[in-house]
Amino acid sequence: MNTELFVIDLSACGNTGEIITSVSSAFEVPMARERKIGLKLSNIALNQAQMLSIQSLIASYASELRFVETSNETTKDICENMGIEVQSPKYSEPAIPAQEDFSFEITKEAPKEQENKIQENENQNPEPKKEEGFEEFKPIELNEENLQTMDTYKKAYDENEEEKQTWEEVDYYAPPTDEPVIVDSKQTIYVNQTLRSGQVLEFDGNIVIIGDCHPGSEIKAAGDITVWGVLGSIAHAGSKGNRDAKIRALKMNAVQLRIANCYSRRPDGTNIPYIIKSSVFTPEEARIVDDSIVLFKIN
Amino acid sequence: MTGSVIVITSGKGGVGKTTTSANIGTALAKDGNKVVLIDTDIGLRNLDLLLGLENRIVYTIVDVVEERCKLKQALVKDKKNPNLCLLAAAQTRDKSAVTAEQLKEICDTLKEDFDYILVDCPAGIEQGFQNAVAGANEAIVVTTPEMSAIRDADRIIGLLEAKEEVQRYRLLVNRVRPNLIKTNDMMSVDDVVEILSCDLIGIIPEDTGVITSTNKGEPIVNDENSLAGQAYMNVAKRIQGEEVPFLDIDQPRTFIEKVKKFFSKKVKALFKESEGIK
Repeated sequence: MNTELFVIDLSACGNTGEIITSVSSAFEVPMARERKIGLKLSNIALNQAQMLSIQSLIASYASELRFVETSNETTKDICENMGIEVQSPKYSEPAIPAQEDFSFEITKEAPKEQENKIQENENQNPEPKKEEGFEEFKPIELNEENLQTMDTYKKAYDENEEEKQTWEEVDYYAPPTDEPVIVDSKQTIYVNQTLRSGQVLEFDGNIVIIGDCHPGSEIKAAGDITVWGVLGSIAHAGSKGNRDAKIRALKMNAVQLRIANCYSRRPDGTNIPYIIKSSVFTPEEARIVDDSIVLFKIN
Repeated sequence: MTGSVIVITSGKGGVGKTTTSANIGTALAKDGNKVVLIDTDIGLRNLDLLLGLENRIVYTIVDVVEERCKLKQALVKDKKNPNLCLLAAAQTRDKSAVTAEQLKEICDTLKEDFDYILVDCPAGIEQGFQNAVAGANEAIVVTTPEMSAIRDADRIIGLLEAKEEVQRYRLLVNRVRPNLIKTNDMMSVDDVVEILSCDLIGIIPEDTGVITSTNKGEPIVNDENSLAGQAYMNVAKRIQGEEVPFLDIDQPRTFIEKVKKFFSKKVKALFKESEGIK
């Protein structure tokens, strides 16, 4: 293992999802693998489960989490408990140049810019939604464009309704428990492989799959399901009755989507038998709207 | 109502058991029978794909056996024909998830409501085969005119003869290519029947349409122009007890072939005439 420290800056991240995506994207660079890793977390509050999952994600790339830089007290405590070295952020690093050392013209402008930046940061802190990064991850609200993809799945659901009427005794997907179990949204596992036909992945929390899910496999999670690839299998989010669970995928080709006790199937004839993996990805998110599963585009 | 349970088996893989099951099932349902197809190939299910019902499966045969749902709940109705139902296999389990007794029980229950129960058997002669055969009282042995397939079919017929419940077994020769038979590159159907000494239930010609129909998820029986589809319709008629002559699979398909055949007949007739004159 390389002894040099590789530092990933996560201070721009706002939630766990963003942390995961930026950590996994940082490991796209082979340089980051098999090394000691440092994380810059600024003021993000993380609990033990989240820290553990980040640690396991890093471990899956044969690296080791050695060092965390944070100003948040809870995060600090947890990291210390886990035996990770903790440091408070060094503000000296950006190093505001001493005014006198530079020529007058430059010093006049440079500190101003920095002051502005600091002011902006202060403004943004109470309302982090203004940052561009946040808007990108926010699902777009209902409009005509989104409705196109919605229709296909909604139609499928309606067809299923008919079936329900004809098979009277059949209640299609009865909720397993009467009282919905709302899972602590922080328990998450990461699976760094392609899920093949016949394989079942079941977990009592959230599942993140970095890879494709081939038809014939099954994913069952009590929380959310996120697939960083093509979802072509059966996915069941909120399997213990959590109706707020969501299913996200870079490319949605799922045979069936189930959230809590709702069920929808892919419309007939829309299967792409030979998926061109390099084709354009259209990330989509499925969630329950008025008792039916609806797909939203994520831009 | 007591329906008959027909197992479709072959021993060797890839000879067209699943295709045959899907097509005969659809054909029987088209003739107005109530049909249920049972996929016993647990872990490697394909029958749902051929029927285009993959997206409708919620419960499988393993769920029925393990009492997570009622048998009726697990039956998936066909898109077009309400007379046809599918009892799908589980993809995430293996053959040992179901025992022969349990499958026999399912078949016996279904017999009361359906005219025909077609059991699609997995390749091999292990547990999967034993399960599939357990409830059957009739069998269709699928083979192709190749030595390896015939050898395996022979072994299967031997095993079927040992079962008392299976009262009758008949042979279906699949993927026959008349052109190759003419040039003596392929065994003829008569040869196959002679080797296996077994009743024949149908001859299915090789048809490229089968590949397209499999990918589309629609049995080729629904395509009325297809020769293989017609052949499967005839097999369904024979299962129902009708006597149907075997299809002339050497039918000319293209215009040029038709012209060739017409002239060759004329020439033969002339030749015979001239012989008669002599």
